[in-house]
Amino acid sequence: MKEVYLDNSATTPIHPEVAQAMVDSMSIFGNASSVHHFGRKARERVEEARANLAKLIGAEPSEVVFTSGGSESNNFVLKGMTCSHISCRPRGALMGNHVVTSQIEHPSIMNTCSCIEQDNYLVNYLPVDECGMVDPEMVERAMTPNTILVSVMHGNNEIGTIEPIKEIAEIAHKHGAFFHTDAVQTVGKVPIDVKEMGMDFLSLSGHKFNGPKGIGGLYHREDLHLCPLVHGGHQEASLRAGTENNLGIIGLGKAAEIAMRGMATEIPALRKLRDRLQAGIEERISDIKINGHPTERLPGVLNVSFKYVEGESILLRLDSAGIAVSTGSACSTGSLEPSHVLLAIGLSHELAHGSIRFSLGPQNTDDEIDYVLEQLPKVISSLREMSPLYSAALGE
Amino acid sequence: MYSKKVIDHFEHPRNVGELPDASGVGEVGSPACGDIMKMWIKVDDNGIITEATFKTFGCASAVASSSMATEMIRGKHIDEARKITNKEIADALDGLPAHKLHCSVLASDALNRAIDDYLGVVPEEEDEVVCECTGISRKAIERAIRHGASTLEGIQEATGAMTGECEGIRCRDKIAEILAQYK
Repeated sequence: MKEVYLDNSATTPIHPEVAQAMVDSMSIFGNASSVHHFGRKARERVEEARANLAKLIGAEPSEVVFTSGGSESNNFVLKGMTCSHISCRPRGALMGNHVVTSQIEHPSIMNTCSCIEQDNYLVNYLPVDECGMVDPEMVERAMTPNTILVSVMHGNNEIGTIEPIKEIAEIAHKHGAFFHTDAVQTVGKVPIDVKEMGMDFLSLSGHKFNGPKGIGGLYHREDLHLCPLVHGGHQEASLRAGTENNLGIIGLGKAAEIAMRGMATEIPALRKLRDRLQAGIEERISDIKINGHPTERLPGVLNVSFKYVEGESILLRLDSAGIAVSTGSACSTGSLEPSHVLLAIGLSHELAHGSIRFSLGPQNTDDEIDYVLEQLPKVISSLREMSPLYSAALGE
Repeated sequence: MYSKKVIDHFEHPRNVGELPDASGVGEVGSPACGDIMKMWIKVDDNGIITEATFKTFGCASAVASSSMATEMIRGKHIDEARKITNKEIADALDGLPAHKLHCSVLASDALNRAIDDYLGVVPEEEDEVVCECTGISRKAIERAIRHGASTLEGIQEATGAMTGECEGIRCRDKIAEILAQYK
């Protein structure tokens, strides 16, 4: 049976070169902080990886801290900025208890914000328009003298919309606040230059761009200090304790190197393939809605609502045909509320329940897309035949 | 996550379709909660359900529950069919995950609604939703109690109520009240 993986926003396959680099480094077991040559060997490889990662985002190596992934990086920034010991926070965030973010952030931002709200922090969750865009004008209006941080994601994981973070960062700075972006979905997929974009903090994750799971990073502007999330030894310039994850770091560094290499050619090819899938679906299936911004969108993401049918059903039928996707339908999130992102862009519950996210990666091929375009219409029409909503609509 | 039976009924649902000369039709659910089920039944002069079909908008559990329900009621007298509990539907499917139990409740509601329609019974008041997170109605809870659930745990086990996001914070007291009425 053909196997087609179109869930790259959830995670990505480890690039063969990354796997090889990790396997080859199995013997580099030294603790990178040890003074002897076993340690120095590990230290050398760790710093090499750091340099590659920093280059990928236009940062200095000293501005990159390794973490266990995107969720940790997001927790690190939010909690580090709002530590109850004022002297732990960066200068400039000493006073003030207001944070501005958006309604479509990843749960590791949303739920951490809920947590800091318990500590008497005020958080504004800005609405988005029907394409999922944050309006910089709304950010401007939300700013107060008490605002210490604005956090808006670079690219949304569900609908792919790319936010105007450079503009928003300028607004944050104008009002004396810091700017953080969750760039987990964009690092390695769109060009990023943290200096040019005016970022103070940026979160990233290895397994979203063909690196291993369990490793990520936080970029912090050179002079900015944060209260650590993980206290302990002096690793990562005393910002994040714990013996360095040699294998993960080496894998992440390799993934960064590969991403830089491929950015000019692979990304346009990916976009073209995604656009082909989108056009193919629009041609073959009626009563659909494409969710997300038409142009400012991650190159591999396509989120579609199929009227009259439900997402988990679509997902499982595609799965039995070997095609892996994900859905914003409640039934599959385990709660009865559909995806908060789809509701935030104003989708009705019914359309939110009928949504499927196709997220392509550089390893997908034309043949695979052809196969999906062959299977998907059959799945949708079979489910529509079973749907009382479809027969009701036909009857009208 | 799903048993083989659920997958089977989902991939190859039985009795999909409408009955143009149905004796009774029942529709339950709403797009807001992501599940809508419609059931058609044909009943002969002896009160036996000779045919039953369904159409469902919903997840695999919803499709499987309605498919299984139509299988279970065929050939039965309407009084017997009424007695089928959601738990029996779920058991016939070799079990449903806890957060999907409400799909089996919806299926049993649909078949009851179809039988009501056949008998000319009009539901007296809007079925009050007690557990908002899972969409379980007062009637479903009362039915579970009549079929032997005597504690909150029993009701939870039978209907899936209190397994939603708020884990019963909003509805636990209300359900306890209903239980008390039956004691």
